[in-house]
Amino acid sequence: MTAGGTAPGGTVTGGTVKCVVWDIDNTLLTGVYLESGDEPPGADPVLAAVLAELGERGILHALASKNPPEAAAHTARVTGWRFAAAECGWGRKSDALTRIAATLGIAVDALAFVDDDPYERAEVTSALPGVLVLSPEEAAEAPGWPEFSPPVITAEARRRGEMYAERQRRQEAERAFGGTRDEFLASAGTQVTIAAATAADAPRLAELAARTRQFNSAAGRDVGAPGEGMTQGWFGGLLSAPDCDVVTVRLRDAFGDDGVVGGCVITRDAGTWTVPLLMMSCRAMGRGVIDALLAWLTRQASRAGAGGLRIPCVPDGRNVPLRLALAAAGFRVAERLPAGYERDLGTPLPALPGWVTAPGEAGPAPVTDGLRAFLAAATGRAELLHIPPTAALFGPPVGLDSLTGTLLLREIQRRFGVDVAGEDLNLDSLATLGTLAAFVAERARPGGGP
Amino acid sequence: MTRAVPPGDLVDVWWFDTRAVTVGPAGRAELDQGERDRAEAFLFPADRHRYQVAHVMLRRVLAGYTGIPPGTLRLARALCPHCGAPGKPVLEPGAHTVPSFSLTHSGDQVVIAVAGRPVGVDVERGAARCVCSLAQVLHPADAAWVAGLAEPDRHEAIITCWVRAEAALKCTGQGIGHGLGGFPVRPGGTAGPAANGCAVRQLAAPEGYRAAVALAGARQPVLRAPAAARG
Repeated sequence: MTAGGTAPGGTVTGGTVKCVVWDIDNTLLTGVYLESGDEPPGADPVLAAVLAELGERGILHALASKNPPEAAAHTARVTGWRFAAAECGWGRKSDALTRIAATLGIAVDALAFVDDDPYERAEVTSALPGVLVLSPEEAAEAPGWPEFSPPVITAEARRRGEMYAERQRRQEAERAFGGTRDEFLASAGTQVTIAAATAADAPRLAELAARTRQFNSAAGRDVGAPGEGMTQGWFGGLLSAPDCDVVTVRLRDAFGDDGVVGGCVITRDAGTWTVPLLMMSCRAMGRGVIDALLAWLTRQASRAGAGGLRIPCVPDGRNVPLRLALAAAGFRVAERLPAGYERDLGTPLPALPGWVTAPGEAGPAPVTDGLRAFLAAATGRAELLHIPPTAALFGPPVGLDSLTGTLLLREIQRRFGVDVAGEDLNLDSLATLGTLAAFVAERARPGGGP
Repeated sequence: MTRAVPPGDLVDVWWFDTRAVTVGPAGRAELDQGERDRAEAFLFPADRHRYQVAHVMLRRVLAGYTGIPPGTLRLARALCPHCGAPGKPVLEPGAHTVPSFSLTHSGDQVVIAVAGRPVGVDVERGAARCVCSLAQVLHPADAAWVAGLAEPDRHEAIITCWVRAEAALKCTGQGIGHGLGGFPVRPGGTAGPAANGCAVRQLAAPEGYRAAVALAGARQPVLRAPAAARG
C-alpha cells in the first residue's frame, strides 16, 4: 500500500484522493452478483456510509468490476449512489483504473482503489504505484485519513459528483456532434465569465490552488511569502494589495454550471504584467477556458500598454497540459531565469470567442444571444438565456408555445427586417436559434426593419 | 363507473395547477414510450414537469370517460385537414365510446376539454412584455378592434383573441402554422359559426391567464362543470 508517491523530480504528489474506484463483489455488495440467482446481494452498510461521507467532501466514486454492466446498475441502485464512471469487464483492473482516470479527466494517482481480492490489489499496486490501494476494512476507516480529507470543501466540491454526471452527458453530446470543438462549445451554450475575485471567492481559489495539478503554474509550490501557503487568508490579502489583481473564471453551459473553475493572480511592476499563479480545474479541460483566459490576459496587457506579459511556470511532470496550452496561445519559454513563459504583445492580438464575458471586453452580442434575451424577457424565465443554438424550439427540448414562438418571429422582423412568417415557412422548419440566426444573417437588411 | 361523455352542446372543462401536482413513478408508468421520451427530452425541469402533468392528467381524465386504465389508452395523432401533417392528439377508435378532447397548457395551468363532438381549448399566460406585435397575425377586423384600445387593455385583448382563435383551430385540428387570422374571433363580434366552423366561448381563468373553448357547429358550448373538475 502506498499513500501518494514521490515523482522523479522530488515533488510531493501525495495530495488528496479525488476519486475512489470500488470493486463490487464482496466489497460494495455483501456477496457475489453473478452467484446470487434472482436475488442479487444488497449493499454493505458500512461502505455505503463511507460512499456518502466521502461524497459530501467532493470525492468522486467509480466502479471497476469483473461483472456484466448490470452489476453496476444494481450496485448504484442498492447503494443509492450515482457513480461518476463504471468499468465492467474481464480485463485488468489497472487498465480499468486508467480508463476511469481518463474519462474523469484526472490523474491516475489521484485515484484510490478498494478491492477485497488481494490479487487485484497487488495487480493495481504493481501497475499503478501512485494509486492508493485499500482493502474494504481499510476503506471503512478511510474517512479519518488525511488522503480523504480535503483542506477546503466548497459548494463546487459538494456538487462535484453531479458535475461529472453532467460531464458524461456533455461528452456523449460532443461525440454525437458533427462539427468542430468550437462549434460544439457554442452549440452547447458555453459561457465563460472572467471577473475580478471577491472575498467570497477566496475559499474556492485556495481549493483550486491545493487541488489543481495539470493546469497549475506553481506546480503545487507556494508562490506567496515563504511558509505562508496559498490559503484563503493569502488570497484574501491579495484582494486589497496594490498593483495586484485576482480574477476568477466561471464556466457554465446547457448541461450544467461548473462554478469557478479557474483563476489567476496578476501583478504589475514597471509596466510588466506578471502572473505568479494561474490555475484551472482539469474538469474544464477541452472547454475553451484556458484559451479564453490566456487570450484575455494578452489582450488586456497589450491594451494597457504593458511592456511584457510573463507567466512564471514551475515545470513538473504533471503540468504539461498547461505548458502545451501556453505554447498554443503564443507564449514562449523566457530566456532569463526564473523559468517562465512570455508573450510578445506586439503580434496580432488573439480573438476572444463571443461566449466569453470579461472585464474590458465589449463582448459581441450575436443574433442568438439577442433572441435568447428576448425569449427570457418575454416569458419571464431566466433559464431561457441558456437555450443551446441547436435545441429544437417548438417541441422538446425547449417546448416554446405557439404564442411565444410567434412573438419571437415578430421580434425578428422588428429587429432585423426579416419577415420569417412571410417566407411561407412554418415554425418547425425554423426549429432552432441557430437556424433562425443563419436565416437572419442571410437576409438581414442593414439598418433593420421598420 | 365511467363518466358520461357530455352530450349535445355540453363541454367538460378540467383545470389542473401544475404546482399542486406531483408526478411520481406510478404516473410516469402510465405514459407510453413516446410520451416518456418526449418528457425526457426537455431541457428545463419546469417544462418537463408541465408536460408530464398534462399528459398524465389527460390519460386519467380520458380513463374516466372510457373505463380503460390510463396506461392502456392508445393515443394517436389526427392529420391536419390543411396539409395532412400529424397534428391534433386523438383517442384511437376502440370498443369504448370515443370522446373528443383537447389539451392545452401554459405557465402553471393545464386545461383539458372533453365533449361529444370536436372541441378545442387554449390557455395562455399573459406575456411578461408587450405583445402588440401579435396584432399583425390576427384577423384584420380583430386587429382593428385591438388597435383602438390603449395598453395594457390592448395586450389583454390580443391574448383574448389569440386563445379564441387557437381554440377554434384546435377544434378542427388545423395546424397553427397555417395562420391564426383566417377568421374573426373577437368577443361580441360576428355571431355564429364564422370562427372556423366553431362556436367559441371564453372561459373563466386564473389571474393572469386567458382561456377559451371552441365547439364544432353553430351552437354555443355550455359548460358542464364536473364535480371534481378542478384537480
